[in-house]
Amino acid sequence: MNPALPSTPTFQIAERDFGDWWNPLWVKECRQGLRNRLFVCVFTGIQIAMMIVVSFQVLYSIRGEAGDFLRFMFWFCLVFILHALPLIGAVIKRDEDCKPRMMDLLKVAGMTGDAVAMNKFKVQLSQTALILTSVLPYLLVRYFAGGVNIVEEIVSLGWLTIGAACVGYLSVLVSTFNFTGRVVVGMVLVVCFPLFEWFLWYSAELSAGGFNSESIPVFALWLMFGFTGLFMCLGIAGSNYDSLQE
Amino acid sequence: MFENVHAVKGLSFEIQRGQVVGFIGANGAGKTTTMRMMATLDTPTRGRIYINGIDVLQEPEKVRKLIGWMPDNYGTYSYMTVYEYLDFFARSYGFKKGERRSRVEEVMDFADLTSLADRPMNKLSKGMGQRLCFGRMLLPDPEFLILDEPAAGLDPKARLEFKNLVRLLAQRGKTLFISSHILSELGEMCDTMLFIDGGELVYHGASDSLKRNHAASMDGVGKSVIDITVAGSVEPLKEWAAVHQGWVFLDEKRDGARLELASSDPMEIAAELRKMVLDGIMVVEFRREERRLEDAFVDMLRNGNGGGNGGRQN
Repeated sequence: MNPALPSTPTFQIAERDFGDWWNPLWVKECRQGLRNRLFVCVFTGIQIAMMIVVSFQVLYSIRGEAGDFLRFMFWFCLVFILHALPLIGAVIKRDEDCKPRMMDLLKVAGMTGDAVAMNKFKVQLSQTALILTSVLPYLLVRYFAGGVNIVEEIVSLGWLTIGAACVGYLSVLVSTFNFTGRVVVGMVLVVCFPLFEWFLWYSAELSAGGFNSESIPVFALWLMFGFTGLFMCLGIAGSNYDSLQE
Repeated sequence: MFENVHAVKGLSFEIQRGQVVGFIGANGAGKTTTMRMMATLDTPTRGRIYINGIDVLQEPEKVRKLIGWMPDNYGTYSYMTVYEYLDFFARSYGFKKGERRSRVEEVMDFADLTSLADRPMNKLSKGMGQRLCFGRMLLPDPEFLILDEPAAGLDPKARLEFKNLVRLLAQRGKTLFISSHILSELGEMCDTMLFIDGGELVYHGASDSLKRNHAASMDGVGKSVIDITVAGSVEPLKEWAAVHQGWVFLDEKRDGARLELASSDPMEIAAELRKMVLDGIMVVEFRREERRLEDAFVDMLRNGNGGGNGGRQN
């Protein structure tokens, strides 16, 4: 506490840090998100699960068996990690920026609730992208050695990403609710989540057949609800952050 | 106003640039509400607040660039180190690359946080956390600092460190507005005191003048409380007081006593001391008690007004 002393930092600062063009909230969320124990466990867990599933699939393929169960397991792991876990996390734990005084400090620093909500969503998308990228090599192995249809797999991966985006903004919203709100949402999700997944995979199957009279209304529905949900959920989450009182 | 309850009403005061101002009141007196309004976090139903001539309600963005806000408790972020926390706020305040790094280092140096840079925020003690919060507040180099109960819950060492930080900032010409309900602490740090009760200003003036004014009101009664320390037993002093007119024994201490003398005239007090010494009382220390700020504040609330400079003054 001596301002007269020259500054002699004893700590390590990364020479190459996040650039200035990134939003500070994104940088903060990324730093926290990547160091989060849950994320580290999930990331490691999915690699192990994928290795096991893909290895068995290759073995089945060599023996000339279809391995439908392994195909199901491959997608089940991804759905659980990218769709179910964020929602479970949001229902279980309220976001830490909802703690007393947290938003005050951000407001004084010029941040708004909307910016907080948007950046939390962006970080969720980044984490999804990171996980999906790490899964791509397994997809290729499944194609070359597992005998799967790569086009179908990539289309499914695309739909999985759309689902993860929907889950992302929904979980950002849910994590701003108080305990009662999260309990109610949790109960609603028990019913709605399987329906959501069913509709997502139904859409994926439809899209495999290209644009036709059956698939276009479904895509339109996704577009409409996807974007409405995005702006509505993040808007409400933003105003929830803004309206937090001590 | 919170659901028909006026947290603050008719509060009006002016603070000079470079002053350290103590904002005092009991719990629920309206201190935090007032400070939050000044910090652009709450909006008053009526009235105006100007900081550096800028209207807080009309131009909160401009005001936010001028102020530093330190709430009474700060939340911690998980998976974030002290350096990263300061870096995040430095980014939020618009510092770029090298400038950001040097500003964070400067603040860490000032608030004695350099050795804690790599420590996770949630592993900090209360005192360290307060220093971090203090550092965060200083990042944009604000002219006007608003601190709500900054020393609450701190151990004596951390309190002393905090006082030093306040002193250093005052030397740098910052205006500090500090709330507390520990009056003695503020008395040492502040140039001016603001007392608030029931959302209304009851006193605005120097702490010394508050003590003097209340001492004067006691003088009016013609009494003084004298704190005497003696060598050896207190009994001779007790017996001496019992047989001398004008003295009332108040209470005994480990090595002396507090007595009341029916006079406030310095000459008479000096004469009594001389008499005491000549009568063989082994006086080591003889001190006329000053009114404590706490007593002055309680008296002021009991009497229903500030006395002294009175409320609503600059």
